[in-house]
Amino acid sequence: MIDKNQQIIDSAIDQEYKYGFTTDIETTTFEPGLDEGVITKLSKLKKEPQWLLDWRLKAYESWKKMEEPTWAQVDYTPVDYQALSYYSAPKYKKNDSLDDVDPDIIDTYNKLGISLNEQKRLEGVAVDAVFDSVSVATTFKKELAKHGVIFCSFSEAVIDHPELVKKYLGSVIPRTDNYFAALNSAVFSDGSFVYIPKNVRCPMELSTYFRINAANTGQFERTLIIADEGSHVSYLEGCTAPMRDENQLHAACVELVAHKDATIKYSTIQNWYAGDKEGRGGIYNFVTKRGICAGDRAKISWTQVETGSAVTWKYPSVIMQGDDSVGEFYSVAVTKNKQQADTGTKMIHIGKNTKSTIISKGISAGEGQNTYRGGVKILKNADNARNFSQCDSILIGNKCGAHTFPYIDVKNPTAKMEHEATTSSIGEDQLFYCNQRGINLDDSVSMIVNGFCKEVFAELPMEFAVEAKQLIEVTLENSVG
Amino acid sequence: MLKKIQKHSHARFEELGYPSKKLENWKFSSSKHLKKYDSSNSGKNISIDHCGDEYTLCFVNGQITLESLNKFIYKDDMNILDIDELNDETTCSTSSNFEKEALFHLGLSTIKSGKYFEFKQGSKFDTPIQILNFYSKKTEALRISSFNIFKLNDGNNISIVEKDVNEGSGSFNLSLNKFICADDTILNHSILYDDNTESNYLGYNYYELGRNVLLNIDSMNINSTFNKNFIEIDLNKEGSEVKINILNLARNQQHLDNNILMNHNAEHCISFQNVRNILDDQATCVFNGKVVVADGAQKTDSNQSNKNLLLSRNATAHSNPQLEIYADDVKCGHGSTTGALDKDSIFYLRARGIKESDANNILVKAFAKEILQEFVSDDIRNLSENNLSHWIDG
Repeated sequence: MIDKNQQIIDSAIDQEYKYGFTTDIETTTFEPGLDEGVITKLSKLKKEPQWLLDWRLKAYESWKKMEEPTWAQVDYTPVDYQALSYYSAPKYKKNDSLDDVDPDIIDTYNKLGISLNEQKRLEGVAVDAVFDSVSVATTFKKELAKHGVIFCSFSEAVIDHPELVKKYLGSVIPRTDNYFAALNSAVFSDGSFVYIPKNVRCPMELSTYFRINAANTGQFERTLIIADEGSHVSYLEGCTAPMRDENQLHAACVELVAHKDATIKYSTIQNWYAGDKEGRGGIYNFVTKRGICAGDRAKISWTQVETGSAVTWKYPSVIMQGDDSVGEFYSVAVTKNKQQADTGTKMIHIGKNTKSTIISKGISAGEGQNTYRGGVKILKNADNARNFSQCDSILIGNKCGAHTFPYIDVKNPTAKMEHEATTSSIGEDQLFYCNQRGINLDDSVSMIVNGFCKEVFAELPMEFAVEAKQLIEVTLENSVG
Repeated sequence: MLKKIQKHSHARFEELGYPSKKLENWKFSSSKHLKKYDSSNSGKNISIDHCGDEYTLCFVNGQITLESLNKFIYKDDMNILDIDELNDETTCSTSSNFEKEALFHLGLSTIKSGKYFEFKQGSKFDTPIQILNFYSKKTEALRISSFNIFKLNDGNNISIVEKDVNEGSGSFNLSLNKFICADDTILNHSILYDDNTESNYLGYNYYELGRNVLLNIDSMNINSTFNKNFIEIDLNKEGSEVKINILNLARNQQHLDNNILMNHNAEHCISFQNVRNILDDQATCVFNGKVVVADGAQKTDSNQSNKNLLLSRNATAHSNPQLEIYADDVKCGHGSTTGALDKDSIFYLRARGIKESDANNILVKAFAKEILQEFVSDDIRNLSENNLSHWIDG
C-alpha cells in the first residue's frame, strides 16, 4: 500500500504544465536595466502625455528609496531588477481588426483555449489579450460601445480617455503604496481599462488574458476598472506563461473603483508556470490589488483561484468607504512541489453598516507552503460593521505547510467580527467512507477537495467554475496516499 | 555563571535598544514610556511586616526574603540555589525568541541575583505554593527586574499561585521566569495581577516540557496601566497537554497585551489557549497567539480562542491568532470574535423586569465566568470572582 501510494504521489508531482510552450515571433524588446532613460523611452514609445511620464518618474524616485518587503512567509532568490527587460512586445501595429494580429499569436491564444476570433466566440465574453508587455487584441469593442462601456487596453485609454485615466490612476493604489506597486507605477506597460457608465449593466463578461512569452522580461500590467453609479460589471482574468528555468517577475496592479450602488465582481484564475519539482523556474507573482467602495451601497467582490506561480504575494483588498457597502473575498490557493503562496485580503471598514466576508481555502501538497494573511480593520465610525472570516487549510503530504496570520483590529463596539480557521489533513475516515462505497482514492480526494472549495467555486462565473474545478483536479490528481 | 549571562544580555540590549513599533511583537504597544524607569535604586532592603504563611515564598522587589525562605515548609523537599551557583548553561538558557527581545535582556542584565528552585523527586507538594511579589516604590520611576528558575523532576505535581502586591507609586516590573517540567509532571501555575497603582508589568515566562506533562496556566489581569506578557511553551516530547486560560479586564487608558507562542515540537500533544478581554473606556488589548507545529509533530491537536468584549466606543481590540503548520496529520483551529453585548440577550433580561444596567452586568459577568470556571486553583478563582464583581460595580 505504501509503495503504491508513493507511486501515486510521484506521478502527481510529475504532472506536466500544459501551457509551458513558447511562441516564436518577432519582438521589440528593451535592453535589460532600469533607469529614468528606460522609463522615458517606454513612455515616448507609448506616446504618453507628459503628466503620465512625470507620474512614472516620481514613482521610480520613491521606488529607489524603498526596500523590498521581507515580512511574507516566502523564501526566494532575490530579483535582480537591473537584469530584467522592462518592455517586450510583438512587432505589429494594433488595429481594430483581428486580421492584423500575428497569426502566431492568434495560434498561441487558440492553444490556450482563448478564442480571439469573434465568430467562434466564447459565450458572451469580451476578451482583452495581453501578450508580454502589450495588449494585442480586444474583442467586442463595438458591441460594448453601444452600451457606452469602455473596454480597451490601458495604452489606448491613456490616449482616448485621458481625463478618466488621470482622475482614477493611483487613486486606490498610490504610486508609493508598496515596493512592487511603486515599481509597477514606474514601468507598467499595458493592461486593461474598463469604464461602465451610470446605470449600465455590462451586457457581457469582460475578460483579460495575460500571457508572458519572452524570456528575461518582467510583466507589469495595470488594470483599472471604474463602475459609475448604479452599474454592474463582472470581470475575469486568466494568466499563463512558458516553462523556463529562470524565475520571471510579474508585478501587476489592479485598481477598482465602485461608485454609489455599483457592483464589481473580479474573478481570477492564476495559472502562471509554477517551476519544476526541484523549484527551478516559475513566475514570481507579486501583485497589488485593491478596490474602493467609494459610494453608498457599492459592492466589490474578489474571487481567486491560485494554482500557479513559484511564489505568490497577493492581497486583494477592499476599502469600504460608503455606508452599507459590501466587500467579499473568496479564494482557493493550491501549492504543490516547492510552490509558496502568501495570500489573503484586507478589509477596511470605514462607512456605517459595512459588511465583509472572507472565505479562504488553502490546499498544500508536496513541499508547498501556503499562507493566509488577512487584515480586518473596523474603524471608529464604522457603526454596525460586520465581518465574517473563515480560513480553512488542507494538508496533503508530510512536507508541506499551512499557515494562518489574521490581523484583526476593532475600534467600534457596535461592530461584530468573527474569525475562524481550521487546519487538518484529509481525514482517513472521509477517505474510508468513500472507498467503502466503491470510489477510488483519486476520485475520493477530488470529491473531498472540491467539496472543500465549493463555497468559493460557487462564486465564480460559469466558464471559470468549470475550468477551476478541472484545474484543481489536475493539480491534485494522485496526490494522496 | 550569572556574570557571563549578564554580560551577553547587556551587549544584546545595547545592540537592540528599546523596541520600536516596527517589531511585530511591539506593533500595538509603545515602549517609550518605559524608558524613564531606572533600576539603580532597587537594591535597598525593604522590610515587609508579614510574609504570609509557611507555604509562601515572599519576594520583595524581585529578591526572595530570608524569613520566608527559612519558614518555608517545603524547604527540605527542594534544592534552592542561587543562579550564580549553577554550572549548567542550558538550565539558564531560554527560548530563541526571547533572545530577540531587547527588554528581556534589559531585565536579565540588571538583576542582582536570581533563585533556582528544584523540586525533589518523590516528594509530595499537596498544598499550593504561594508566591507573593511585593513591589515597594519608595523611589520614583523604579525598574524592578527578577529572574527565577523552577525545575520539576519526574512525577512532581506542583501548584504555584502567584500574586502581586503593590505599594506606593508606579514602577516598571520586569519579571522573567523559566519552568522546566521533566517527564510525567503536573504544573498548575495561577497568576493574579492585581496592581492598584499606575504600574507597568512586563513578563517573560518560558516553559520547557518533557513527556506526558500536564501544564495549566490561569491568569487574571486587572488594574495595571501597562501589562504585557510573553508566554512561550516548548512541547518537546510526546503526550503533553497545555491549557491556558486568561481573563483581562481593562478600563481607562489601560493596555493589556498577551503574547503566547506554543511550539509543538513532538507528536501527540494537545494545547488550548483561551483568552478573553473585556474593555471599557479607552482601554486597548492585544492578543498575539501563535501555534507552531513543527515538521513531524503529527497528531497535534491545538486550539486558540480569543474573544473580546467592547463596552465603550473608544476601546480597541487587536487580535492576531496565528497558525504555522509544517505537519500534515494535525487538527488545528482558531477562533476570534470581537463585539459588544448582544442586544437580544439584554432585551430578554429586561423583558423579565431586570434593569438595563443590571442586565449588562449579568452578561459581562457571564462572559468572564466562562474563563474563571476553568481556573484550577480555588483560591485564585474566588479572588478573581471577587475582583470581577468589584470591577463591574466600578
